Amino acid sequence: MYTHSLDPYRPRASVVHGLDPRVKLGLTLAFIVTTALTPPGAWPIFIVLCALSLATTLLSELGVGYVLTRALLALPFALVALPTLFTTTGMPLLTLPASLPLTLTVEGVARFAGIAFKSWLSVQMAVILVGSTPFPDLLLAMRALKIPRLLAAIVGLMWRYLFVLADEALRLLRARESRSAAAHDGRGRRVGGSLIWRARVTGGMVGNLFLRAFDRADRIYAAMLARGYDGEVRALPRPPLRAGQWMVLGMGLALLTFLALAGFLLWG
Amino acid sequence: MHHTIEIEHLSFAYPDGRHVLHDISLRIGPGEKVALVGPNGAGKSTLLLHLNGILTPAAGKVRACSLEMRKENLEKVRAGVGLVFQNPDDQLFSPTVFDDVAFGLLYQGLPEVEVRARVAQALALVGMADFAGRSSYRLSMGEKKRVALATVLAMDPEILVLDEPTGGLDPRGRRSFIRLLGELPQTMLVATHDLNMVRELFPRTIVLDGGRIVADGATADILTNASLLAAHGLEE
Repeated sequence: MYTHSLDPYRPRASVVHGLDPRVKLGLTLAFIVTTALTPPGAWPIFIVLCALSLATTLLSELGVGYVLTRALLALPFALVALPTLFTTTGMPLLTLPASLPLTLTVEGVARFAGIAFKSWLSVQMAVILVGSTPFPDLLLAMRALKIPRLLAAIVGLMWRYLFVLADEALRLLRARESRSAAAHDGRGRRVGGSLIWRARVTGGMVGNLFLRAFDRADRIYAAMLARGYDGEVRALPRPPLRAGQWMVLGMGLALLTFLALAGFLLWG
Repeated sequence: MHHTIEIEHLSFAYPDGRHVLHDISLRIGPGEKVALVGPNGAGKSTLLLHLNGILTPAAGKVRACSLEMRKENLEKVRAGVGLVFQNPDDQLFSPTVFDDVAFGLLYQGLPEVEVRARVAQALALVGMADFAGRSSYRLSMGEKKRVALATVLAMDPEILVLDEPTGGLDPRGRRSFIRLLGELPQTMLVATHDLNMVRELFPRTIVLDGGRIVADGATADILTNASLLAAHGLEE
């Protein structure tokens, strides 16, 4: 319906959009692994990775602002790393008041910054990947890269029904809005009900949505079985990679391997 | 003038750029019963969503109960226009039938005694008095449709806007729902594919196709115009 603005794919005619999805998925995964393997403190490597990500953003014509802001999605995940600020031993920077025996260390800050920066970089690349590749192509690429078929099937189904569920939630919200009215006579009553009552209504809506998603899952599975589903989503085979695409893949992988090794040897 | 719907040169496009309504103008007077017919995707539901300000026109004006669709009017408009959605599952989002019918009244801040009385009255009106404590989720389609209607009737609207009220009902459920609609005094605009119901209940019919009004007139004239019906995918 109207929520397909959820779909992150942005059609452009860029070089990145033109790359084979298998090459893009492979390189993105390699980029993320390299970023994860780069030891904390290896700033020159991080600068190169950052430059790579920026260059890809520019080539993809998705817009630097778009990619960077979308990548901020990584921030809540970085919060998980917050304890490293205090648990890493090293030069003390700040000790919290006596009631909390926690010491902030220079090494802790460096490690936390490293983790936050790494996740942000990785998500940037993922944002470019889904922004430049239609999702069905991405699923085929997953299958081509031998990602377990069950996992690919789950991701595919999730994608397919995410929009259905979002539309359903939207219609529920509309129905609620439609009946959120002031009384005719308007004798100065407080409109909107109490906070607890509103929370209960919202809770009811969430439960309702869950029940319906559950029912729908049953119906979908029955429909799939009825058409002979056996756990494999079949698709027509994709043509083999062309020489140019192989070259991009090879060069990208070589560069990322070199960066990972350099980081390891010089800073690890 | 109360109880009226006035639309002037309404156009609407969804954020993804699809133009759904083009230059719609119509006026529905107090107490009029009007059917809105047209093929799937003609823009019927989208038009209905404008009548209580859920969607905002890209161009043109919509007035209901002589109130402009402006932010400060919306809560009043929504008390005056009862919109019943096509899928009752969207309309019924509370744990029990009672909670669903009481939602609008509780939102209005009415005292408990009045809420209970009006819920009981609305449920009795649609013949669902014994279902107040049941879970909406477990009802049959016909029962859900009745409860969905009760959720807006409880709010005592001046105008009823219904989206496919007889869709998905078995013949008996359909028959009793039509009888129920026939007894209601409100001004009505009803989107439907059920031309037999249109003939029975609605003296006036508006045909919508491709987001434009292609005919607006007496039901008797429109439903006997075979070439018009054929041109817009409607069947006698």
